Amino acid sequence: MPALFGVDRVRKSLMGKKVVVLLLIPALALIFIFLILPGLWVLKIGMTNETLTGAKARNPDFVGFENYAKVLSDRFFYNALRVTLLFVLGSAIVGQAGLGLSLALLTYRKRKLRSFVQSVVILAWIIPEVVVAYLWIAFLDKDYGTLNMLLSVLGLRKVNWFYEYPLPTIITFNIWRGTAYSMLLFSAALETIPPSYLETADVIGVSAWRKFKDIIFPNIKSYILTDLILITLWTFNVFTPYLLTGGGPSFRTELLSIYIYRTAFRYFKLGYGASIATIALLINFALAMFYLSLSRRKKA
Amino acid sequence: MSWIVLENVTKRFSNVVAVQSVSLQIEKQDFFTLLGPSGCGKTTTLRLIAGLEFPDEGRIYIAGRDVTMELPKHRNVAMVFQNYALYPHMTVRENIAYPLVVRKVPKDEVREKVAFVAESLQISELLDRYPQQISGGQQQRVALARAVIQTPNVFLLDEPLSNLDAKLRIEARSFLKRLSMELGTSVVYVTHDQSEAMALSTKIAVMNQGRVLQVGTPREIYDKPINTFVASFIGNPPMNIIECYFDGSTCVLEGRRIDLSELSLVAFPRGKGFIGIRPENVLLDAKNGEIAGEVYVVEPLGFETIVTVKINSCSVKVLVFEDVPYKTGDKVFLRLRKDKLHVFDENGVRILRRDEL
Amino acid sequence: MKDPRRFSRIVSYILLAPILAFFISPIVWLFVTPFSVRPSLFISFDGFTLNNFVRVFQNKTAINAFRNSLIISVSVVVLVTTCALFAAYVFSRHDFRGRNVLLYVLVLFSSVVSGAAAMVPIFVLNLRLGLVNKELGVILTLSGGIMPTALFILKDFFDSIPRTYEEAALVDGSSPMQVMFRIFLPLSSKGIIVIAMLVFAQSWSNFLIPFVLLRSTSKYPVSVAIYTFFSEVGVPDIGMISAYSLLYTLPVIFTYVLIERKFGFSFYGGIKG
Repeated sequence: MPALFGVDRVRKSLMGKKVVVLLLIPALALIFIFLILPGLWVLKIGMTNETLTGAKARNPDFVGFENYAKVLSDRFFYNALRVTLLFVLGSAIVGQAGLGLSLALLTYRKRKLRSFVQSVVILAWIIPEVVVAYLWIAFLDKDYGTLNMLLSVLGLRKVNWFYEYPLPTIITFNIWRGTAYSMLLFSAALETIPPSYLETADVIGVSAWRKFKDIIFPNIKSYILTDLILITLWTFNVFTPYLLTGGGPSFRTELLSIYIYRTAFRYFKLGYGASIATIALLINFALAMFYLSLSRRKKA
Repeated sequence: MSWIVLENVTKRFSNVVAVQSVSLQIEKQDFFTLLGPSGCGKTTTLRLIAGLEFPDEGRIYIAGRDVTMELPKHRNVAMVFQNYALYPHMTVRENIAYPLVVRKVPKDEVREKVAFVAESLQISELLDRYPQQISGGQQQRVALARAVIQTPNVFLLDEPLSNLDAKLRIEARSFLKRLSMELGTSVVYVTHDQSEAMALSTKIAVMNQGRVLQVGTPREIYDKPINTFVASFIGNPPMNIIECYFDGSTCVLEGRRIDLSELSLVAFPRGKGFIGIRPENVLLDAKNGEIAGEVYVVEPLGFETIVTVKINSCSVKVLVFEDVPYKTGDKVFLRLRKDKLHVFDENGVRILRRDEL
Repeated sequence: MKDPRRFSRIVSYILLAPILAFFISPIVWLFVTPFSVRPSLFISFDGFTLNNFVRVFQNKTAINAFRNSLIISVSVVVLVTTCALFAAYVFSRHDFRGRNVLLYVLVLFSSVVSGAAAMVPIFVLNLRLGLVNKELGVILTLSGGIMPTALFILKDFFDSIPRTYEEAALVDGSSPMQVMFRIFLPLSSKGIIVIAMLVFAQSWSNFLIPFVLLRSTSKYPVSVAIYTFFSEVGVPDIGMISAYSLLYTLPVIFTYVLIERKFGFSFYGGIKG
């Protein structure tokens, strides 16, 4: 059958090409301009010494990798990195995942109870972050916060939480904030285990710990992985602690995101801030790639 | 030129060939059925005619026009899907009116036509209901109404009876046949049910694995199947295909020799071959016959009885129109009506008789 | 040995009680304090009053901020829903090379380019476009960030709608555009509404983008307004702020409850892995 010239035989759907392009452009344009472009452009901005005010606002110079070199010898950067690492480890990996899994296990197969627990936990997740920050500021107030009032009623001393234990406090806060997602995910994961597996174990007389180790854990491994990578990424970028501590006292809770904010928007050093941001985004990217490669290996 | 022509049409999906070099000529008055097992390409062929798929090779003509790459709306075809595809968010009336509404037919005309069509299909009282509120049989008639109102070049029906329960199916089948006769429009019909194909069609195209094996009238397909596949697909219970060995014009089966010279075939297979005979053309005899066997099971169906007889190499089904005095385990003989016997070569192709040339 | 199931249930309750207390405590304050005659930082209730709410409505900045939040959120909802809807329809119904790759790249970008780090180039972008301190800047930035997720979820949802109706409409004589508007959109309306609601909740709650991009108090949405109220120097009006926060929070809770009830969508909070 001879090929027919000018006839497009490869029609991938019943919409014409023009229509397809027209429908795609608005969404893709918005995404490109306000998401992709900034994501790539930040590298270049980091190579200038642009500031928001002052001489370098009008005529920023191109300084190559000078900023990046500065970042790598910046003690605030390393402080922020350390704080962020501890924060992610403590609140996400141990905290949210651990608590989420525990809650999922505690409410396994107890529909009404699970519903109730989920509602409470989810509330902490969906209330807007500004409100949540204020709720915790009120809750932990050194003189009149609910927790301290309770402590004094019990005869214990009141604690200035944000001042005496800043990092543990925001870690606890973040666990409180984000556990809902892990709980939902793990509850769904547990649902995928055929009940007969566990019932057989009950008949045999297996202990709870072994049930978890031998039956439950192997079946939800992939979900654990998904959960960990996702909440790591989210926690790494979270900004809400700024509303609680502003990064203090003395930078003891200055996460990388807060450090970037301070540099770019309080000191208006846009160029330098961009270089730190680029590094942060690259770390994000590395985490995301790590996740993709792991999940693809699972599927293979 | 025939009303609908497919010329060497091929369609691939990923690396699977769904339709392979299919050529068909469908006349204006035909009730043309595409018959075959699941996955044989019959539905794909129908969708190619409709314009829901475009062929990778070949051409399609409808009413003399080359419509190969045209959208369905330019082909003026009407289709009834297997699940009827009645728009759930529209009333029955709106569903039926839809083809006219998109063609910007004036409102009065639309109202008239909908009333007329609904009346002819006896669904007038359902017009203001929603598809979810009516029964399967009623839904089917609404789908038909929506197709009929278009006065299309051809009706394309994709297994329209398969979603109905057995009793309703028989009724709907006669209704369909009558309707198509009254409308006089060509119909292309897809089904895997050979009795439907036989009952409804003027022509049947038997398909398997993307190819058209044989096109003919029901009678032709039934009496002169082109190969063992077609032969065993048509007819219920299917034709008995028995492997045997040919020595000249004699068929050697189960140690017995059956002389087939009276069949005046064009040629005889050399060595391995098949004979085919329909269950109604095999007679049971207690005392003598060409083949000896043992009754395996007897299935009385009221009007007819199917007796499965085991011979050494396989089982033969016999259709009898009365009660039989045999039961499982009895020894019987089978007498074959030679005038109704077919011979197939080792590849399953039927060997013609001299008078068929 | 007692009935093991009852035992395990008691254990669960014992373990769950403190955890639930932990989660509930900060939240209780939000629902009690606004109605309290003498509101304080600890949970106390000494008489019912609606006075705090009255003071909210007397505060010009607060009311203004509500208006701003509404404008921004509704605009984002309209923008994202329409654009994502069209694009998702194409992604679902039209197979082109690299379709899945493109989708994953988009979702990847939206999870990588997030947080304060992303705000630096986004701020500069808005600066160049002259959109700093303008609502439009916030609207467009929010839309760009939410779009990939909306697209992904919508496409998934569209995939689950059988194509037979569209095919029937095509054969009935519709053009592809007619098919989309007359047949497909009515059929998919449920999912579209859910996405719209999720987008609303997300933009209503967003703090960082308006915080960075807006400078004038008069343009602040509620999220930034609340922050200025409790972070300002001086004695904060606890009653007013708590009432304001409650009013601000209720639409979000309401939205999620509605989604759960009416549409039975076990929501992932609009975020998918």
